[in-house]
Amino acid sequence: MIELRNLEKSYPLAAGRVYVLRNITLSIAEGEFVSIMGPSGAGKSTLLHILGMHDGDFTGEYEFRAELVNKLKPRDRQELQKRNIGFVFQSFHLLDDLTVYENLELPLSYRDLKKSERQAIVGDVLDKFNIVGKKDLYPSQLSGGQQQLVGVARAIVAKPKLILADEPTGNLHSDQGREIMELFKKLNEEGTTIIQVTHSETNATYGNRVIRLKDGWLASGN
Amino acid sequence: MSGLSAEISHGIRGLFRRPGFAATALLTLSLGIGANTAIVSAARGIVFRPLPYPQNDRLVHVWAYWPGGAGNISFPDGVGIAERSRTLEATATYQSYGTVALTGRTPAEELHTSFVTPSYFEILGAAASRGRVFTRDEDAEGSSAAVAVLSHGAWTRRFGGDAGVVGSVIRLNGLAFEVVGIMPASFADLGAVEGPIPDVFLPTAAAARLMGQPPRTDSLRLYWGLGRLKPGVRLQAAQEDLDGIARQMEQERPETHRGYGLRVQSLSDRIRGGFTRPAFVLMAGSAFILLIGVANVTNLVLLRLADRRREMSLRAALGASSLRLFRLVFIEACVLAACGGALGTVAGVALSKAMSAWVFTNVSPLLDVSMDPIALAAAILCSTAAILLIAAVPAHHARAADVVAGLSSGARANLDGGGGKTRKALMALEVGFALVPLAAAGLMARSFNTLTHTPLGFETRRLLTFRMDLVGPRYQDPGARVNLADAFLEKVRAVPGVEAATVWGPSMLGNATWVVNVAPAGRPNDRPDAFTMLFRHSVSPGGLDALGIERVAGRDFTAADDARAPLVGIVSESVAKQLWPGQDPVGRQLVRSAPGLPPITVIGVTRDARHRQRYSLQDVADAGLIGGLGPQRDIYLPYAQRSNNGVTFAIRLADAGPAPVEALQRAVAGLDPDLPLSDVRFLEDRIADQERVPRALAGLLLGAALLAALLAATGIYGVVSQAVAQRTREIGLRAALGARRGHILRLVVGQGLAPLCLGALAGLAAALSLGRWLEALLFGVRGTDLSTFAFAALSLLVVALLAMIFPARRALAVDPGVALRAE
Repeated sequence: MIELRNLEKSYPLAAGRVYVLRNITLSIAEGEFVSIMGPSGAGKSTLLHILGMHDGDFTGEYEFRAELVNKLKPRDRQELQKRNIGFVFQSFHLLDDLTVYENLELPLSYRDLKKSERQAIVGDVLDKFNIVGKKDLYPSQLSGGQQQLVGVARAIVAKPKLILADEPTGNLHSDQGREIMELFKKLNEEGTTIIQVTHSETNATYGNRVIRLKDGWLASGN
Repeated sequence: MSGLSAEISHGIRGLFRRPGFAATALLTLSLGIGANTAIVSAARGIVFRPLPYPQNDRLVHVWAYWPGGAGNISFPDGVGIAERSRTLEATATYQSYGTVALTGRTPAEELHTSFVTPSYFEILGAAASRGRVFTRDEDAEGSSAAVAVLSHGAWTRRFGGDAGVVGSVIRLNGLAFEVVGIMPASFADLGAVEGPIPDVFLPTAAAARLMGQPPRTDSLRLYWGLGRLKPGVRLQAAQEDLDGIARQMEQERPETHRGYGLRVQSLSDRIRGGFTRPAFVLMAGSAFILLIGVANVTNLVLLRLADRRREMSLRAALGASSLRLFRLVFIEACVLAACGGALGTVAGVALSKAMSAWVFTNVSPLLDVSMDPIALAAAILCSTAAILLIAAVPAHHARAADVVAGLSSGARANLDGGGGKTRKALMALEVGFALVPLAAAGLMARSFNTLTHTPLGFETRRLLTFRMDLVGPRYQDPGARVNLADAFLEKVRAVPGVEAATVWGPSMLGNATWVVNVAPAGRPNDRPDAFTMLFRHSVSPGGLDALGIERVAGRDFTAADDARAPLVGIVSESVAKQLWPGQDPVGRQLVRSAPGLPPITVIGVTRDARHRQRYSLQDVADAGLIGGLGPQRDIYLPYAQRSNNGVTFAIRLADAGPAPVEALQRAVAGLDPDLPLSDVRFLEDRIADQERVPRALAGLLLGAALLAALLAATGIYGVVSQAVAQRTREIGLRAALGARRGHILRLVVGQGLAPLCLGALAGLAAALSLGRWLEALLFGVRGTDLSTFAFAALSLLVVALLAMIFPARRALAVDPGVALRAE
């Protein structure tokens, strides 16, 4: 699914370029559940943003499902991302002004689905995540765990092939974290590829592969 | 949430969820759009709306000029123009000056008159709403027809709207007149251009009989000309035509028409010319307020957008294209601005209604500044442009959402990333925009201050003034008028509380003036420019002392200066300096331009006194010197020697208090029960009236300037306040690293100083160029008065610094520990 070849990311500074990612060559197959680990500043989140196609400013090659991302125009890259990738964030990043239903509907609205289709899909997801009763609540009316549950539901609502999760349990109690990780495992078993950034060895055990980064270099896991 | 309606609904919901933000933005927009809507409507009424007459674009006003002066034409001139003009298809002459007494009632009531030729109604397309107007026969030379047409106002006020008044006989100055018609309420009479709305229209043929005026001779210039251009004829062609006619008149009657000329101007200019410049000034003021409002709300939306950086990044991460982000913010801003626009338009319509009533009563009944569909459409167009501008700038910024920076857990918005440069530019614009109306208001305020503090040259306190029109058969003999005036003054002086009393020309600071064209005797006066026009005032012996006009040379009038004695006069210092520079004028003689009139011997000199209208918008429109500025060319004659029919009295009371009107009425009723007192008012009230227009102008501009300054201050406060909120961590860090209060203060205030100064400089440059244009409206102040501009700039900077103090105090209060933990 994903092929990275000699991928590098750097920033220009007065004293020269500072490298955040160095010479990353990596393959991730469909159906994998990969955990990216490493100390702070190792380049985990940067790699996740590149994989998520938010950041196109890198060198090397990034191939996603046989398409060379680094050769795509920003608009095409965004289209590719919209079709294939869902995101889960550490801070949930739900929109405070929108209800649970509207938050779930948002990614679909950006995919230009008809209203009736959107209603059907969101209804299914609400049902699947057992949050039908919360659909009219605002994020501030939910607990942290419930918010992240909505966050995950939102990530899968557009049926992505890949979910990218940045510290998905970082802001949750351990019980809530466990529930979320179980949910990821279930989604993975249903066929969704998952890549998570985590500091937690326990969370990493839910996956089937760990990639370790150190000072921007791939330390292990290729 | 994909559709437009969902985004609109989200925008409306957002307004309710942030009431503070919404209220500030809506108030700002309502004020800007409301003021603009009302002023656009007023400007349309004053500048663009057609006059309420058929073929209004072909109607013209005709007046005359002669060496040393300009003004009315004589009746024969009006006839001459009608007979000879090749460019005017219809002409009329009219005079809307003076009053007649509606007698047979106690006390007699005064009616404001307008003597018109029948063609006057025809040219203005006016017909009587009841009855008829005059026929040509009724206005023919020598006609004895005694017919009158009442204005709608007089009919309802004086006759209770009784339909039976048509065909009835009323007594004017004791003479019987048949009321043949009543004009409709909608008739906009031209008399209102320079005086009160006339109550009664009379044929010009009746003027001599009713007012005691001499027959229709060249020596009496009392009329204005009204004409309608032939189809396709331009004003320039009409002017050339009238130039030719004036030359013919000069050749035919050189004794009365030496140096004589005729001027033609569009009737629209005649009616509205004086108001055009103030209308544009106010329009500019309201436009600046709207622009500041737009900049302010744009800034507010940008500030909110900076707070929503995470949301925009998240939407982009979830698949929103830059176009969708643009649309989202654009629609939200449009919802906000449209609500403000709607509120502002409603406020504008209400303001326009109030302004329309105020203008009708206080400025001119001929100006219709009420809202009409075109004005409303223009105002809505302005509002729409404002809305699009407000929505487009933040929406443009929203397009460039940076997902990585926006969603990083440690990401902090910084000013530049959130449209900081745009906000600073907008802040500079706000300051620049605010400075222009502030400088203009400063100039107008100084002008008004100069106007009200320029000494008039006489004592205005406790001076009661009123007019009597000594007309009709009883007062045809000048001696009868003098006797009446003398007897009346004697009775008035005996009224308790009266300190002094005098006849006082036509003055009363009104528009009405008597003039005399003179030249020093013994000098060649065959050239037209040898004569100078002086403003003539008739006074009683001791009158100058009663008025407090200081005599600097010669003597006062005495009872011996009567009709049998040689004509004597007292001139003002400016006349003395102009006609006899460096010489003593006492004992010298002035010859008159009209042949056969006796010379005037100068017996004294007074200090200059400002008797006439000191500030008139007509002067502004004519690009002439405003009356109260420059030398005052006046000559005083004894009433006994020059007894006009319309006579003004000035009564000095010993104490401030109510006017003894009843005692005055008793005094006059004892002499002539049919003689009404007209226009009884204290002079100070007249002065206040005269100051009304410049006061209103200064007040409106000052209001606009204060609003502009307030809006600019709010905008600056918002920008700096948000910057402090966004830099709390940085400020806390600096404080933790040992920054002193001065450093923090410099950090906060310093970032706003550059746009402030740049904005002020740009504003000063704009104000300087606009000031030159404003100069014509100013009294005794230059349009480029640097001290006023510097004061305005300094005031605005102080206001701006005050607006920064509150956020700066918040920055000083930042607790380093709390700020850093919050991150």
